[in-house]
Amino acid sequence: MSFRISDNAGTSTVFLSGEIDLERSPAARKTLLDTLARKQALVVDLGGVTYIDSSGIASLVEAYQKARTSNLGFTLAEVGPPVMRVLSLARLDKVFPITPGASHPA
Amino acid sequence: MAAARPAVVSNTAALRRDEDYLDLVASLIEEFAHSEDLQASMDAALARIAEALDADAAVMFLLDGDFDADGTRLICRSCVGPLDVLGLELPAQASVPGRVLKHNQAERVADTAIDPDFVAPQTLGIDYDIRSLICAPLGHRDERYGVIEILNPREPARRFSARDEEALSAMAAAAGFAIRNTRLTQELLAQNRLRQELELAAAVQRNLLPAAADPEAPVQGLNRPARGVSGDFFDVLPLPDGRVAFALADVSGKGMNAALIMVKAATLFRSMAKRVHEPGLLLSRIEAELCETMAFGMFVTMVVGVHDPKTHAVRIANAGHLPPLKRDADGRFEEFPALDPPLGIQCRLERNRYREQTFSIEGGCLYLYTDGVSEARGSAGDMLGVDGLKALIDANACQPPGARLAAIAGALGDDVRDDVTLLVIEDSVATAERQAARLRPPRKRRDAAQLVAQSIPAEASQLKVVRRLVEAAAREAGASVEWAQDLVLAVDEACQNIIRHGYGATRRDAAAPEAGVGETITQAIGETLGQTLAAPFGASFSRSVGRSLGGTIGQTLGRTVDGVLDGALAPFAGSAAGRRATDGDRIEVSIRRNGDGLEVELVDYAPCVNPDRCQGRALDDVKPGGLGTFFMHALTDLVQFRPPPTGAGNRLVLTKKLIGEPAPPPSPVRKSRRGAASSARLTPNTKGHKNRSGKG
Repeated sequence: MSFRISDNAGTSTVFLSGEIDLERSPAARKTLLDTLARKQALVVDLGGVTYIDSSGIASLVEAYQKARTSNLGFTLAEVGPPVMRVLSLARLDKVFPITPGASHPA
Repeated sequence: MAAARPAVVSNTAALRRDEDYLDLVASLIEEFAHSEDLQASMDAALARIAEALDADAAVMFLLDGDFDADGTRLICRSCVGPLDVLGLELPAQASVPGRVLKHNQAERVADTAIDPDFVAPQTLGIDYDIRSLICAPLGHRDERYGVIEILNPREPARRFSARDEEALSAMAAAAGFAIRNTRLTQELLAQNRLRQELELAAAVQRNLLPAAADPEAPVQGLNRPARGVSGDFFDVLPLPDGRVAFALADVSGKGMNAALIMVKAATLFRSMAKRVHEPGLLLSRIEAELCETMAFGMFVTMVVGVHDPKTHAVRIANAGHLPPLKRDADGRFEEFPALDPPLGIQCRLERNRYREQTFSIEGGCLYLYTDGVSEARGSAGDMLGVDGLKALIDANACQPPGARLAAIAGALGDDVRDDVTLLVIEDSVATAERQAARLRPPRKRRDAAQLVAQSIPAEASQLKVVRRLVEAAAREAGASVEWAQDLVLAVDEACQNIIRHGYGATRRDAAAPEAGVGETITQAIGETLGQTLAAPFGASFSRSVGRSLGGTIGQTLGRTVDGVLDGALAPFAGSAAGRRATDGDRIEVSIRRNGDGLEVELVDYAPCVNPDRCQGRALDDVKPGGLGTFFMHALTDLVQFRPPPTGAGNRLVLTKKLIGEPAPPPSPVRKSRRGAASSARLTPNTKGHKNRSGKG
């Protein structure tokens, strides 16, 4: 199961979708880290995510760490209610840069 | 007749050179190969042979059966020249042709007068004098079809030569080859015709069986023939008074004979059951009719019966068939062995009718089946048996009757040597129970509070199954979508802990990188995380770790940040996500109503977890499962390790209360960024949800 990536002027948008759980988080994590390894600023579009658990959140955290240390942009976009619920529960909604609505960085 | 046959062309020189007859053999073979009319080709060939060998006459005899069999005759199928013996029959083993066939070798009789086996035509009333002849077998390898004879050289002074004999042998071989091909073709055509007839018979039979009923219909049958035609049949006949007559039978033997008897038995049942509603009498009437046509040694085992949905009673008569199987409302089985022998045995019956059995199937089902079911063999060659059938019935009990039979037949596999026929009669109470049960999640008997009881392999790919189970149970309990989502996440995290830290503990300990990821986090994130995480973790774990938050709070918080992130990353340690459950690595998930909430119990067989350590490590040593464990506690009211059942490793019980759980509120989390400050005040229990409810 792979995730769609769209590249645009130095920024890559990774579209995560479906259930990001223990089974699929490794694929999500790899996609995010691989994209950052290409020195692309990263937008993680979570519009299609219907469920996310701690392993999925951990993938986002790790990608954010990597982006920070690499001085690359990192934004979450299209954060729907199921994801926001978990992010806020973990108090990470204040940690991640989240773009309201649009899936491209401002 | 003689005029119609080709005449021998006169004045043709006898064969002079070897090539001449070889050319003729070649042209004969070609002619036979293109022939569509064997008789015409044979006639033409015989004329050419007689001409080529300068014979006065030639005849072809074909066997009408196996040469070695008694009574087989040679019949003249073609002749040229003045001797008209078409249709003449000779005993196969007598005379010169018989001797030639016996040795399967051509013979030249230079002088018939001194041949002891020669039968002169005159003795048969035929006015023709045979002085000398050559007789060659018609055949192919060891198969013998007949002979070709050439009679009397046309020039009286000439004698048939050895070369003539050789030439006739070669030509006879060519003709034999043509006969063989024709016969093979005819056999193929006959087989094809037979196959078409069988297909037609199978179609006729299928039409005799009741059309596929409504899958919910209470009386259903299934027939899967092992070959095109079947010796089994079933029938279901609704009676005008609301009762249902049914029958299932198995004709001894296989193939066409059995199929024809089956057709008759089926027809008899269909016509008689409309008038005769007493199963015992009906069977004896059917037998009386069947015996008139049934070959000696054939018999039919048959059960006929009548079910009355109003009284739940079933009345059956069983002629030597396998015992019908009743499964009652509590899942207990009872068999009803036959009291009388099969139809066709023609024994004297008391009162001239088959004995009946009457019983209630209230709340249950009655199954009739043929030995193609109970004697079906599994991949290991083991026979299903009645116990195996019972297990299949149990496993599919919640299915509608039609789907249930299909599932049972499907479980028998494709390698079925016998016809498979099944019939089920489901009582109306059982139908109602089953339909009602389908609207409820599965539950264990005697435990009305039980919503889910399922064993799941302990692997990441199965977590979605767990989530669906929890979701369904929560919905059944009347919870809102969000309440359900919270419980789903909590249970998912608990199962992940079992997969990663219970079953996966050994591997993870060996492979997990122990270095804290926190070391790589920039100070900025660390600070932010530290602030935001302080509240939930402080509240969640204050019971067990409150003392750790003393004077060294800054340091502790720093470690918490590292720890939480590290713990959150723990899923990837030791490739836990990718590991597959080894045999026996399972999680027993059961969900019960518990007062005003739901109780989710997860039993595993992993090494025992120290409950104190499990909670206490969250702050002091949060590396594994920090975020997941936090979610578990935050989203439920109680996380408890209880003494595991015998043989199990751990029993974790998550309880979440439904108090104040109203109709689903509009989702509040869109506002969560703005509301983060207020949510940070909340203790991480269901209050977060209540807050949302309040907003809604």
